[in-house]
Amino acid sequence: MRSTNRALNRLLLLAVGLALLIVGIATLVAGFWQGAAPAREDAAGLLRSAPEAFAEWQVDLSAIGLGVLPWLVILVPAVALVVAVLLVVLIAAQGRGRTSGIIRLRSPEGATEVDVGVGEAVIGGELSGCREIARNRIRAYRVSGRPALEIAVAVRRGGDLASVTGRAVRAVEAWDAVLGRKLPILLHLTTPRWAGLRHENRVQ
Amino acid sequence: MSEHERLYRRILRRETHSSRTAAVLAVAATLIVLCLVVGAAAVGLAVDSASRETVVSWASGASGDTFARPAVITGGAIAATLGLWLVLLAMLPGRRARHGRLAGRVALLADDEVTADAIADRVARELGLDRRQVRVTVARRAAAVKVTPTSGVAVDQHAAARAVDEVVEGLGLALVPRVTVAAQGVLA
Amino acid sequence: MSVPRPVEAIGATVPGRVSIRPQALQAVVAAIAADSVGVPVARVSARLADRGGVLRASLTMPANLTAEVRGATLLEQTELLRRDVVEQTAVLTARTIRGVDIELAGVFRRAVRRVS
Repeated sequence: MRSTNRALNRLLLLAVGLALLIVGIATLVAGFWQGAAPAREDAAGLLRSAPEAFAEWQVDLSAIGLGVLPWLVILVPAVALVVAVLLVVLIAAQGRGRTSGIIRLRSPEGATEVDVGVGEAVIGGELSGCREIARNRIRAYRVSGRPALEIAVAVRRGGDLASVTGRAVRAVEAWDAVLGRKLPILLHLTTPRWAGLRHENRVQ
Repeated sequence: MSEHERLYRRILRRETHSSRTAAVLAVAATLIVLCLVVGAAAVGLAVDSASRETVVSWASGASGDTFARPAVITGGAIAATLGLWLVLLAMLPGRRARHGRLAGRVALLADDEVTADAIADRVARELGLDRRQVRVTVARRAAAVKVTPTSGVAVDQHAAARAVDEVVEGLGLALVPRVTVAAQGVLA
Repeated sequence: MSVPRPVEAIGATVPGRVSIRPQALQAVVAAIAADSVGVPVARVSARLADRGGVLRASLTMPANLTAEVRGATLLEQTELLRRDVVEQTAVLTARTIRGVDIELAGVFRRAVRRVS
């Protein structure tokens, strides 16, 4: 239930994809089209005259001891750095929102934090009697600025999904009564096979 | 209780569709490397006059052959394919193998694997077959049940469909049963 | 943390100053919190901080899930806790706490003795 900005992700993929697609198609057309030979000569000419053009656009940094440099040498690394930083920020923005196992509620007189272990104790306790549940895992998240819980329940093979769901909802109601607030809760039914978790309650 | 209805809808929509994080990470990493290479090259060219000479002489020798057709076509094809793939990733919904619904107090999310297992178990029990004779695939709106009959024993397709409905309605998911019976049965 | 105050004894006024060491203050707050929620004081951690002249308390303790306390929900308990901490700290130490942050970490269940 992490809060990756999905719209932004897809926007990035669309932008890069369209750019590549347009450039690719243009290049393909240039490659196949018979009349493109002159265009290729033009492109070659451009490349030939490039070094002189770059040499002309100069900026004088002798004052700080760097001598005379082409504009591009300043511009290109700067742009590259900015783009790289933006991308790193984008990478870091993936998958935020999972709180470190704490339900945080703010009030004007102070903040109240309830460790997710308390929820595990109550909900896990309620579910421990159910034979059809192999494992349960409870995680706290922040969704749309509010605390929410995901309860992942591993259903044993042959288990009755409707009755497992009923047990889980009753466990949630018990938790509501203990906490004193109805948090948004995602009940996730999964198979008994999953790997590598921290807050996992194994139930016999 | 529909007090979290809007939030639940948002959560379920997100949980049942891909976030495309993997693709974004790959694209971002590639672009970052590109940025670093280009930036370093620019700085390197500025600093090292020898490499500058090499680049200048290469550029001066450019002719129509530098943009030879095979190279251009290959490059264009690769770029266009990659671009198309990324555009598709961006536009297609990317549905995950899960189904969800608002279930009053909670938002319910069921992995298709669990639903399929439960349906297969129920169908096998209803028809009196071995569990291995029933294979279930859960699609977006339907549950496809493939039954391999026991030789000489007829398969009651309606009973199978009813079993699917029982499981599906118990969860409240909108899956339509589609039962097919294999032409070849098993002897045992 | 010390506030100069004259000590008033019945029948006489002896000038002097009462200063309370931070550790003692925190111990008092912890004791008040333990009493309010009904958990052993050893499991309560109290930290006091000054935020621009205002006293703020930060408490960490287990959630009391003992059946008898079930009448009050956890959030109700924390509200009562806030009130108790502010009121009783003021009475006992003449300090006004503004703002109590509470963290419920862990669980406490009082063992029930069976009387047979």
